[in-house]
Amino acid sequence: MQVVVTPQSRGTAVVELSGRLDLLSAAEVRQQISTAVADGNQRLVVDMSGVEFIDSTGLGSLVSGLKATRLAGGDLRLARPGEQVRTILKLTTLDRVLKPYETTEEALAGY
Amino acid sequence: MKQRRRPSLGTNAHPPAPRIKECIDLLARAESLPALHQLLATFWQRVDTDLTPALFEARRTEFVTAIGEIAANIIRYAYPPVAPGEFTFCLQAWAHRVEAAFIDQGVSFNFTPPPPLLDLDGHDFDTLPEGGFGLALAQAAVDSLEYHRSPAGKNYWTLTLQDDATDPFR
Repeated sequence: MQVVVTPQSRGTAVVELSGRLDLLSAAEVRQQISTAVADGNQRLVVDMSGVEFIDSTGLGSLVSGLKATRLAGGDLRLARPGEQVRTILKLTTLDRVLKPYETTEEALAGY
Repeated sequence: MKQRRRPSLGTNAHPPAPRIKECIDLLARAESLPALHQLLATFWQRVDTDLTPALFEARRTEFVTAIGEIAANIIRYAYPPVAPGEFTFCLQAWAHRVEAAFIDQGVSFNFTPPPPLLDLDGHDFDTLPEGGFGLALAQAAVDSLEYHRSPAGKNYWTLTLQDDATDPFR
């Protein structure tokens, strides 16, 4: 799994993920998001377009990131999720708190 | 055991041999997951080539999602972290049915029907669960999820998608 954090302006950053977000990679993603928040990026957009598979452990790393950003007064938004990511969000009903956005620009709007 | 949609198997007490079967033995470690996904890709390619091309096309992501959860469960809990054992992963397809099976020789799993999937009402963000819903997710994603422990000390997990054909094996 590749994780690329690109800071934007005013405490905002885009986190680009690619590969499989699962038991093998979830801890790394959790750590990278935590570091991004600690670095002052409390408003994150996670670009999921490169994520080919996610399991509940991977989803847990995103929930952890959501909590960290909320605790810092920000938010975490998902952009461009693929079919499998949408499926797991819907099955778990987590799409109610991790609402998917069609584009990163749309997710960044209002931040 | 919950079965969301499982047509009668009729008189097929002994189902015919699958039209497609792929198996692999893997170490119960997270590093084995890419090989599991590779086998899945090969399996779907064979289904598209050798069987009805659209077989469960709309539900493959759900099936793969459920498989990922059971694999992760075995990797995390079947064996002690210091001594990971092996598991066998098999995929089989008939004309109207696909099945994934996991076999391991780890500890017995205390399988009870998983709790319902996340009930987000009443949760604030501080208490959102970050895990523990994998089995419920797997169960919600397939038509049936079954577990049993054999007298010989093996764990068997079976996940099935099956359509409404009178005889799903033909």
